[in-house]
Amino acid sequence: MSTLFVLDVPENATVPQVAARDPRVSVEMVGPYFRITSPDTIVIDRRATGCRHAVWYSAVAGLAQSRVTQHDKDALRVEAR
Amino acid sequence: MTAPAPATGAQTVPPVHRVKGVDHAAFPTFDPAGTVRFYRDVLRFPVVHSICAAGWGPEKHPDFIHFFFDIGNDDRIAFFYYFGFERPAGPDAKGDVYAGFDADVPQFWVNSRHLAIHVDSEEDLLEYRRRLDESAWPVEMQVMHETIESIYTHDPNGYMIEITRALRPVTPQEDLDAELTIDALIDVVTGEDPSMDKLLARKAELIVERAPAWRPAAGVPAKAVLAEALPAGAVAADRVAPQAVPAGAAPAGAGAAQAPAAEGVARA
Repeated sequence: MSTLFVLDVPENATVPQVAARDPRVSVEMVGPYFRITSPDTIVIDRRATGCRHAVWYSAVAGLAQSRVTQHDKDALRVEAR
Repeated sequence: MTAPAPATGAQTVPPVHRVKGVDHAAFPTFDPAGTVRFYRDVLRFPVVHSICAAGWGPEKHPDFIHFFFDIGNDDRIAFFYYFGFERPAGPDAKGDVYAGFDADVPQFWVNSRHLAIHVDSEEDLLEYRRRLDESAWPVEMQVMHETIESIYTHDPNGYMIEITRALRPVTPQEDLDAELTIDALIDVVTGEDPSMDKLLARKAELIVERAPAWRPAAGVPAKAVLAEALPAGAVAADRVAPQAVPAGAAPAGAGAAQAPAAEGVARA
């Protein structure tokens, strides 16, 4: 299971939204965090989120048994560890 | 008449957090004339205090002037000018009069130490931009960091100065997030081979442990307090329930943050 956490602040709003376009991705709340999970690799398209640098590169709040395999101007990719 | 006694002893307990901002941040200068031009004449920060001190102590402590500029909020930036004291030798390829670095030292490291002064509005930020741009120390960079907007320049001493405004208030959950980040950081840097990967793994553990029970402190305006708007079971940390957040039960007052919770979860 790939799992990342994203804090619920306005500028992060599109991150779980874009992630959830993948039908295998689930989003739930853990306190004020979005927990984004998938049995597959989670891929979030940066341009689809509309996030610019400061937000995009600080959007990941936590990784549960997962690791980031891509985090650049194109995409964030999180895979099970 | 006698005033009623306090109901509890709470009023007699001093607060834990008693400080009141920056009294002054002090820097040495070898160019007091330029420093005064920059802070008093260009930025128009009033001179609010100065000390003319004859040298003292066992060392050959030179005579000095310690002078202060008001940076608002009763906070001050201060300088020391020592008569006859030459700048200590050192690399000066990068940095400022206090700390010079060789040319191969990365600029991000050099820039990491700076003073940021707060303004309340775009109008104020642009006013300082105008004052600097008309001076010998024009704005070198204006950056919108999504949540803040800042202008940067270097003063006559080479000190990097930022003037910044917030584009929105800091939300209570960002305070929680900061606490979890710092606790994770301490855990990671006291272990072996600290890395961002390890920090984010540790932080995920702390989120699961502590975020579900989190509530904003009393009296703090909640901008996007999700937990308050959710069914009790929806915040259980051990649940992975795609439909835990019904559409429409999104964060209260979260602005744009309402959309993803509703759409992303409702889709599943």
